[in-house]
Amino acid sequence: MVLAGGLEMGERLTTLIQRVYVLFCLAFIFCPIVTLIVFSFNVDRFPSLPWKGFSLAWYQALFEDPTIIDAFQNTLTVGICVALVSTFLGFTAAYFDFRWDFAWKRAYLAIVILPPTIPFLILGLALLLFLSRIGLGSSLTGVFVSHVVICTPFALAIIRMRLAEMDKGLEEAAWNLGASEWRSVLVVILPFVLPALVAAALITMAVSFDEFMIAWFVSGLDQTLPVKILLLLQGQVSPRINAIGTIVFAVSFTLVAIAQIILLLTRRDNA
Amino acid sequence: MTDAAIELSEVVKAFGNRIAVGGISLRIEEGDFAAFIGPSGCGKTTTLRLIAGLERPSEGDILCRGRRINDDKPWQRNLPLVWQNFALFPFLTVQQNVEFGLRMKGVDKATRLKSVRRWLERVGIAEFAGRSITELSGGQKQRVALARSLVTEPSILLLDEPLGSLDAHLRILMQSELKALQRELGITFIYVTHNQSEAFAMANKVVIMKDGKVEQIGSPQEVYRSPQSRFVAEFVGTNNLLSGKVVDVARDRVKISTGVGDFVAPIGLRKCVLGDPTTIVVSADVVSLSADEAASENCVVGKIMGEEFIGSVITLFLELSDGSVFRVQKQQHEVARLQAQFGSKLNVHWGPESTYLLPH
Repeated sequence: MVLAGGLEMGERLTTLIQRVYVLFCLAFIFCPIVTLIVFSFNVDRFPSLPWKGFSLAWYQALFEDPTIIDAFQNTLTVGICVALVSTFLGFTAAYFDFRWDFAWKRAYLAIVILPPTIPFLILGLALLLFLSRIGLGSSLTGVFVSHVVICTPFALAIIRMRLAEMDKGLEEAAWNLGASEWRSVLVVILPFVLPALVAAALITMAVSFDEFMIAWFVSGLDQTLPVKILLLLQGQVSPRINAIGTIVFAVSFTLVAIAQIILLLTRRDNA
Repeated sequence: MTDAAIELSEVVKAFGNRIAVGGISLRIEEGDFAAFIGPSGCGKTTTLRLIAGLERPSEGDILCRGRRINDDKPWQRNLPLVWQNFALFPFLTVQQNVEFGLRMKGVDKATRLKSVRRWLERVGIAEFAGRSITELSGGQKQRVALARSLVTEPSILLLDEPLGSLDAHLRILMQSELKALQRELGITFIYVTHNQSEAFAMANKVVIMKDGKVEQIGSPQEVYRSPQSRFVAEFVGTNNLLSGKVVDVARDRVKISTGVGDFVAPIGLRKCVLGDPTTIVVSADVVSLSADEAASENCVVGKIMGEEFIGSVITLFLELSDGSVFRVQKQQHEVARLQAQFGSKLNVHWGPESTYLLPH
């Protein structure tokens, strides 16, 4: 075989194998989720084939169970509050990092981004112990506080990335044109990082929405949805689980997808 | 004496151990077009930033019309700055960028709009009012930056290498536009550049800085024809410096003996004593060339070792007997007439009146 021709064939084969491999990995990851979604619409109570018929009965059952509705509301409330507070804290930390240089800045940043790196099993236990001492153990507020702790680093990372794209001279230009320090944060910094703020809010909400381990430790009688799901799983086999799972997946997926699209779009049209 | 538009009094700025500005005192009068030039790191941009309030002086006073403004924050001074990289707000349209200063002052929308339209027309980009600034070319962005800084009708404008990002052709165009604008508006321009010809083309007052200090202030003619120090003589224009000792002093002439020959120069205002070390400045463009080695009063012989072609003017680099380089600037056709080649020797001579002594 001619050398040039042989190389080409070898390259094509390698690329093909690589692609097939990646497809298998993705399939392995998504198969359970796809199964979940598919069987949530199945009339049959047991997740088995053949397909018995399309039905929304299990979704209906969800809306008729007040404990599930409560859990969903809790998760939503906590999620929104966490999104707002984490984004705010993440922004202030990112701006601090952008504007000032000081001796212990690196150490400060290292500590701020620590929480997501700690295994949540340990973090959950530690948070429960601490929060109990200040009277927030076994409560939704405790979950809120815990989630702010783990979500703020995400917000910080996203906003910091966007802020790094900003020309430092813009702030000085604003001061030079009559905007005080506070005013220029409002009229220059915030408009510039707005897409990142929105993305941070969406992602922190998704993180909080999905978060199980810490919520399980810290929540009491007012449970978040992920905790409720575990209880359901332990209790009975019901396709309602599939329905809940599908909804949770859809919500998280949508939030993260929108956030990513926003970030991608703003990346491209940078002055 | 009336108050200067901007006056610096013994201003020092240190960043840690590094002294960026080491004691500057100068006056910029109303209506001046003052250009600060100097090599990189000389402190000219720091000086501009001190005037704008973006840095605080370590020592000394900055006065604006007689009033000390050291403690004024940047947003309290009406000293807009035109930046080299424009610093336009990417999330605002051209119009919104230009009206920014007025918005910060609290001017109502209708008045703002009128002002913005007027200034956009004045700088020639009225049709871009609603555009996003990402769609603009470098020259257009520069005009937006200019309009943005003029919209608050300042009496003093600061410019930090505003033409630095533009291509050569556009630079020349903008130079004459800026000069005309300044004359028409009658406001004071304080302009920082590393480009000598730009400064000389536009300014009526040139400030030459080196290592945080002012070397010389004067009109372009003064600085060009009468440099007061060795540094200025070497930095401005194309000058040759011949150093030696005084061997004869007459009423109005001085004779100096150097390593490449003896030369006569007008004594000027200097007090010369026999034996004084002194330097004669010979501009590259005041000398005459000839191929034969006929001796005349002031001449050196040099071997051609290089040439630089800048359009109609050629700079020849000649190696003198002591190994130093002597530069000659001539029109291209004159050099062609000599039919000289690399390595051939040329006689360079000049009349003593075209040269002068450096004050030491």
